[in-house]
Parts: sequence; C-alpha cells; structure tokens
Amino acid sequence: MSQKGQKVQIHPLVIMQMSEHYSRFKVQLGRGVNEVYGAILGRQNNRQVEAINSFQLKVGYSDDGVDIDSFGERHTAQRAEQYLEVFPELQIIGIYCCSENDNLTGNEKSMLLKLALAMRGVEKTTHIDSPLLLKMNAVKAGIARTLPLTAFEVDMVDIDRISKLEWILVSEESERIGVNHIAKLSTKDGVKDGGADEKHAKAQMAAMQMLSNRVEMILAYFERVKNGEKEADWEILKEANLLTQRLKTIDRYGEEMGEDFAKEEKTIALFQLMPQITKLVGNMAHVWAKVARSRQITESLSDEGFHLRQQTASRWSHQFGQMRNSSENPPPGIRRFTPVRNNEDEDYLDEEDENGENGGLKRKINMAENNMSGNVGNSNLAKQPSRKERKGRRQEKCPRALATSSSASSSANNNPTNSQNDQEMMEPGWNSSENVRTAGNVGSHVPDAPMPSASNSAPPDQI
Amino acid sequence: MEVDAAKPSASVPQRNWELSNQIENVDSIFEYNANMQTEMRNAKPWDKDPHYFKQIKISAIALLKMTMHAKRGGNLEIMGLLQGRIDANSFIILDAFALPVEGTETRVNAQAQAYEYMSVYTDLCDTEGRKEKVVGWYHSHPGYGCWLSGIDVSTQTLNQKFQEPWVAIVIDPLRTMSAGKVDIGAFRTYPEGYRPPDDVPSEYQSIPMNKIEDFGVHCKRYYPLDVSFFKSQLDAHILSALWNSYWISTLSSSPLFSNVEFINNQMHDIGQKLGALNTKFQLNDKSTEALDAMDKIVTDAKAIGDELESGRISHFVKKSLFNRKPCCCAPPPQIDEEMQP
Repeated sequence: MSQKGQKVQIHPLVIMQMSEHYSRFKVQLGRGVNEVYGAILGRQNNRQVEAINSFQLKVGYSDDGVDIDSFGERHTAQRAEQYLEVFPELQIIGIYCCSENDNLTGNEKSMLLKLALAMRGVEKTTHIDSPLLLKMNAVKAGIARTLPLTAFEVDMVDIDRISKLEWILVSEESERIGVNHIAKLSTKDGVKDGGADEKHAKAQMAAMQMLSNRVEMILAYFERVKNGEKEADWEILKEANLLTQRLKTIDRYGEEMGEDFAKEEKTIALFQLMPQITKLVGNMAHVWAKVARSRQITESLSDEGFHLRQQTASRWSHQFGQMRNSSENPPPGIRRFTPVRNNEDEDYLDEEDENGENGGLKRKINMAENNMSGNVGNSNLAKQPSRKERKGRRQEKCPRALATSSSASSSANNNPTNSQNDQEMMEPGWNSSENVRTAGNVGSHVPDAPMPSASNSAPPDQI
Repeated sequence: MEVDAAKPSASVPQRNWELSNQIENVDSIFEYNANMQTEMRNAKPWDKDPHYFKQIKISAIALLKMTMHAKRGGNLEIMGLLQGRIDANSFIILDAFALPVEGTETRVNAQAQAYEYMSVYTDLCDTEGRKEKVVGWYHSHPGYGCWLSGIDVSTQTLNQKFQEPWVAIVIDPLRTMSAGKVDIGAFRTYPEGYRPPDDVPSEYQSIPMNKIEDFGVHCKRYYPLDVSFFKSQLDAHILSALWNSYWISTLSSSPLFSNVEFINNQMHDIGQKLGALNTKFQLNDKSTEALDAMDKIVTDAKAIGDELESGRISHFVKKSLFNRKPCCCAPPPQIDEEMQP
C-alpha cells in the first residue's frame, strides 16, 4: 500500500472513535493517560485499504503513563471475534494511537506486535503483513484546522521499517448525515428553520460558498505568483492547468446534461403535482363535510328532509349518492361539485399512470366508485377516452404548459359543456336553494383550487 | 489532505448553528461516578413515577454507530445495545454496540444468542476500563418511522421490569437518508395498567398503511423522551475539520437518486391510504375521524413535496454551477469566479 497514488481511505467513524476514546479516558482516569490504543477494522483489497470501524484495546495505566505489558491478549482476541461476527466483511487491519505528540514512540510498535500475536488465535482473520498505524495528535487537534492525523505502514518482517502513507477521508451517505447532524444540531429536530427543503438549500449554499472560496484561493495564489510575492510551485500550476482543461470537457457534455436536466425537471414537476392534488382532495373533503353538516341542519329544519333521514346510518354514502343522482336530476348547488371531483380524480390518475405504479389501484378505486353508483360510472366511462387523449397530449408538453393546461383544462377545456351547464345550473340555485351560503363558499373556493399546482410548477418556465 | 486551511468565513454557518443550538461540548459529561450510579440504581426513583425519565443525551459516536449500523441493515431490522449512565431525569448514552441479530419485526427480540453475545461483550468492557453499563437497546424501523410496535412494547416492558434503567431507541435509516437528517426516537413504556394522565398529542409522523394498526393499538403504552446530542471538545474540532471536506459530496450527491425507492414507496402508501379512506367516506358516518385521516394524508403528501423540492434545489444548483450554457435563471455569483481560471 505504499505505492504512490494509493491512499488509505479513512471513515469519519474511526477518527471520531479515536477522539471519543481519548476524551473519555482523559476525563475518567485523569492526567496519567496520555495515549490510548485501539484496533482498526476495515477492508483490504489488494493495495486498497479502507479503515471503517474500530474497537479499543485493553491496556493498563499507571501514574507515569501507559503500561504496555498489561495488554490483554485474550481480551483482544475475544473482542475481535465478536466484531467479526457482527461485521463479517471486515477484518483487523491495524491499530490506532491517539496521543499528545506527533512522533512515533516505541510503544506503537510493541503494541502492533502484541496485536499480531493475539490475532493468531482468532479464526476468520487473515494474516496481515503490512498493518496500518494511525496516529492522531489530540493536542494539536484543538489548534490546527487540519486533522493532525498521520497514517503509517509497518513492515511486520522488519518492524523498524515504517513508511508514511497518504490518507483520504471517505464516507458513505449515512455516515455523512450522521456527522452533519451531530455537527450542526443538538436536538432531534434542530432549530426551527423551515422545512427540509429550506435546510437543504442552506447546505447547498454553504457548499457553494466553499467552492467559491477555493476558487478564490487559487486565484489569490496566482495573483501573488504573478506579482512575484511568492515562488511559483510548478506542481500547483500544473494542477490548476489541469482543472481548466477539465472545464472544457464540462462544456462538451453541457448539452447532454441540459437534456437530462430538462427530462428530470419534467419528472419532478409531474411528481410535484401529486402532493398538490392530494392537498386539493383534502380541501375538497373538508368542504364536503361542511356541506353535509349544513345540509343536515337544513334538513332537520325542513320537512323535505324526512325521507332522507332514514338513511342517516351512512351520511356520507347518502351524500355521495345524492351527488351522483344529481347528475340526472340535479338539485342546484350540489351538482356543481361533480365535474370538479371528476377532474380531480383524473389529474390524480394521470399522475399515477405516469409514475407507472398503483395506477391500477387507483383505477380499482374508480371502479369501486363506478359500481357504487351507476350514474357516475357512466359519466366516468364516457370520459375515459378523453382522459387518454389528454394524457397523450400532455406528455409532449413542457412541464409548465402541462401544469397550466391541467388547471386550465380542469376548469374549462375538458368539459366545456359541463362547466357551462354548471354556470347555468348555478344561477337559479343562488336564489332557490336553501344552502345558498355553502354553495357560495364552495363557488369561491373551487376556481382557486387549481392555483397552487399552477404556481408551484412555475419554476420550470425559467429553464 | 484536502482539509486545508480555508478562510474562516467558510465555517460561519456551522458556527452559527452551534451557537444557536447551545451545543454542549463540556467534557465533564464523560465523568462516571460509580457510587452515585449504584446509589441511583438502588434508590429506583423510576419505580414511583412512571414518567420519571424525560430526556436522553446521545454522544456523537453512539449516534454515528447507530446510523451506520441501521444503514447497513438496509431493509432488514437490526438491533444493538446502548451503554451509558443515568443522571437525574435523563439517560446519557456514551456508546452503542451491534448485536448479531437481524430480521423482520417478529424476529427482533433479544434472543439467547444475542444475550450471550451481550454478556461476553459487557464483561470485556469491564476489563478494558469502560465503566458504563448497558442501559438500553436500539433497533431500526426501515421506512416506517420511529415508534414502538407491539413486540417492541412487550420487550421494553419486560426489560423495564427486570433491567431498569432501560430505554428503547428506534432509528429509521431510510427516512434518515431521505430527509438528510437522522430520524431517531427514544421511548419508555408505562407500566402495565397505567393510564397516561393527559393525552398530549405527539408530533405527527407518517406511518405506512400496513403498520398503522400496530401503531394505533400500542401508541398509548409508551412515551417519547426528548432527544439531544453532545460531543467532546476534541470531537468538536474534528467535526469542524470533517465539515470542511464535506462540501464536495453535498454538491455532488442528489437526494433524488438516492431516495427514489423511498419516495416511490411513500407515494404508493399515500395511494393506498386514499383508497382506504374512500371506502371509509362511503361507509362511515363519523366524518370528523375520516377528515383527520385525510389531513394526515395531506401532511404526508406535503412531506414528499418537500423532499422533491430539495431534490430540485440540488438540481438547479448543479445546473447553474456546472452547465454554463446561458440560461434564463439567475446565475449565482459563484459561477463567475469559476469561469475565470
């Protein structure tokens, strides 16, 4: 692994564990502790070494520091067996030492030898001939901005042959989230800073800030080299040149990326319709509930409602039935919802169809509705082809057009006759119906309803 | 090493966060007073008050270990144990270790094998100078949120009877990945026959259709603890150094790609819930109940909307940074600097 260009990959968990081990012992055992040891678990693939996890080694401490001879061999072997049982893909690849200086003392070497000896008794472990030694300076960690961590490779044949290795920090997504979480937030939910998207936007901003800082740094360096304030480092200049070369390749792939971007943007826009539509459905449910309640009040006040009250066991089904029957013989006011509801369903359905999932489910629900009241079934069936058409048309459009067309079509395009009818139906309703007020509320509500989806899909028009 | 000296301004957001959150980084939290712990264990103040424990403080390392272990399990539930101590009304969790138990809901209960593993592990801890006792367990609920199922409740009740003090932590690796923050909850069960005094409606969380019954039956039998996190001073420095190298992955990863499956499942779930609600609307006359359910679905939908929106933000950032085609959206100022070299 000492080959040039091969860097040891270190996960944050290992570094955090070194730090935790040191801090805890420092606090619990007092001043005598100035170095702690642990074994590193990881993967080794040819010359690629990855340090993933670790556990602490048993060492005794006396007043004047660590007592290497008290190293617990049996303990280490048992511990190793336990870890390998839970994480079978890992193996012991070396040790860490967190102490208060940068230089290697003899202790690390004897520790390594002892570890190698202890590991001989453990099944499942493979023999490592060039173990990894990580050394962290805990004192310097408080001052320096860089991590005072050094990686070494030890030759087990000749224990004095120790070579320094380059290392690089790697992390998987879950680890990153964990570290970010603990670095930023102290409570479960953190600060009340808006929704998840806002937080995400902040993280993105911080990252961009960082990028621009780096670029500025390079520029500042160039500036100083140009003015002769600083000696030119050819390595750095070469790398900077490489970077600018790479920017050109970005240009080349730019078009491709733009296409992908547009495609994905459309998908997101489509997906985004789902929450909006669900919200609308929710609003509709509330409106229905209110209508139902007011109807019941009016029914109880008037004698007309007598025969309806026999069905009170299922107010909702009655409500539905009422609405559905109304398509044939529409009482004003209520009639008006029916087309809106259907449009709702259709939007939702299109959405699901596009996703390629539970479209079948939704259709089943639709079927259930159809079975429940034949009237609507007919009207729905009659509309099916038109929906297909609409869907076909939609797919060709860009997201914005899609959104507007969906809102436009649901209010006017799709069922011009229906909505016209509604308008006509409404007119007498305003005066004759008993629930004028509710109808009025709904009337003002419905035209607004598609707005959110339209406004939400507005960003795409900036593309 | 890529963690080089950046301008101090680079970590300003991070420092603000820490300030506004009053993150404890006092190392005294690592202190362990064996006498006091034994005293408390003997006094058993939690026997008198079923609501005795109110908070839980989790160390950085324990959180990291749990998150990674849960993620490793994927769609399988994993479990492990927590080491720490108690301090007045709170648990302090210093470390966690994994148990060789994996499986679905029915299998997650500490069985003989796990028990043996645990006793060997803790014996080893004693000899290596780790004084903290095992004070609880953690397990994962991949994709269905942090709450206790029926089996969890009975496991926890049993342990609270015989192993006090004992706490249960639930972690959801899938939602953690999806939301970009660790989804975690800590719970204590009430003793049998105890009725919680006033029903404080806990924070709403989305629970999938096939689990909702289990949740509903048992949700009155336990209560959540306030979860907070702490880190040592050394941890704090290391975290800030780590933070400096994270910006690259923040820019290059997209929540849309990593969470496709989760988002799809969520949508599917919403579809199912809506379907169920539809039948409810038609059959049931308790409309307020149905309306509440409707509201919950809407909340779920909004959450997905949020997640999609954050994906879209990453998308725009990437486009405006790296795709230098003239476009009509306002380019962020950074883009100019990038073009110059």
